[in-house]
Amino acid sequence: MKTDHVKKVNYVYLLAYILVPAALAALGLWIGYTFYHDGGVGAVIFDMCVPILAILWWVFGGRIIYSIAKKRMLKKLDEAEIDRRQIFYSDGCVVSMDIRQAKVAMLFFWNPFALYVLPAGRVTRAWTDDGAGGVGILRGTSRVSFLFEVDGVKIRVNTFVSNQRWKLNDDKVLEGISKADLWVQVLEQARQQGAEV
Amino acid sequence: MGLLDGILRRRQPDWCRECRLEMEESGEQLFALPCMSVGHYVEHTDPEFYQENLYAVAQRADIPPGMYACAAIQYRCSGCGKRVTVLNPFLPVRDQEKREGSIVFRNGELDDVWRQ
Ligand SMILES: [Zn+2]
Repeated sequence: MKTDHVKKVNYVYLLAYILVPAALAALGLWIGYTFYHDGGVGAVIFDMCVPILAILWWVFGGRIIYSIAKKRMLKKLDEAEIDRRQIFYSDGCVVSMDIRQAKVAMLFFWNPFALYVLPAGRVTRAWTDDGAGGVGILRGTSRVSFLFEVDGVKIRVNTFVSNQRWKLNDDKVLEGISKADLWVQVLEQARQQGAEV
Repeated sequence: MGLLDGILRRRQPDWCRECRLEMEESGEQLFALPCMSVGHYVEHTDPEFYQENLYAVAQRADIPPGMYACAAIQYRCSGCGKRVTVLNPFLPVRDQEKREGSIVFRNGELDDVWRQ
């Protein structure tokens, strides 16, 4: 568990994620071309299987690593006896709050090997963004989130995302706003508690 | 009042089937439902659940974000004195609400809740 400055993106991981499979695919193509120029099993393996594996990795690899990291997060929090009943899973990160101990735990999609557990006093502010845009009958949103700042780093957690725009009074949007408002309140409460400790 | 009207009204909670009378509203109360939170609503139809989990509140602002509320209306039949309670659970979201299905208790199951 880390307590140092929050980093949402591990750039080494991000670059490796993109470049390593690309390099392997290129290497595969090169080997296939150089050593199995006349076809055969070797050509199939190096010209096709390796690039296909690389593409599969780009599509699914991140999500698999993220889901393993999420399970690991729960286990580590339990081991440290941190209450994780108040937890929110979103596409880009997981936030968990232990109000009694005033501790906030965070895991990020692009930094899955770091589990941050910080005193809630380091949260400086928290607010909801309903993502409202447009005028008249077009007014609506395709994303609702709650945001907070830790060590000056802004963290956005989506509570509702869609590829189309929904009216602000739509049930799905209302649920998203409610979840965001709930989390803003939880973060504020823990922040104040953390400031008193 | 025709036959069709009577058939339609049978489905209305504020209609006394026995006396064929429209009931009068005799009370309303807002409750918090702390055991239900956003994204985890489950409909309950057993009166025991509401007897245990409804907490009367004075105003909507007393219900924190993400918590469900329940608006209750009581009707009384001026003919036979029978009472009906209609519960309208909803999620308050700022000045709006996400409504869930109403639950009707026709046999005085929730009379205790009104005496809170
Ligand atoms: Zn009656």
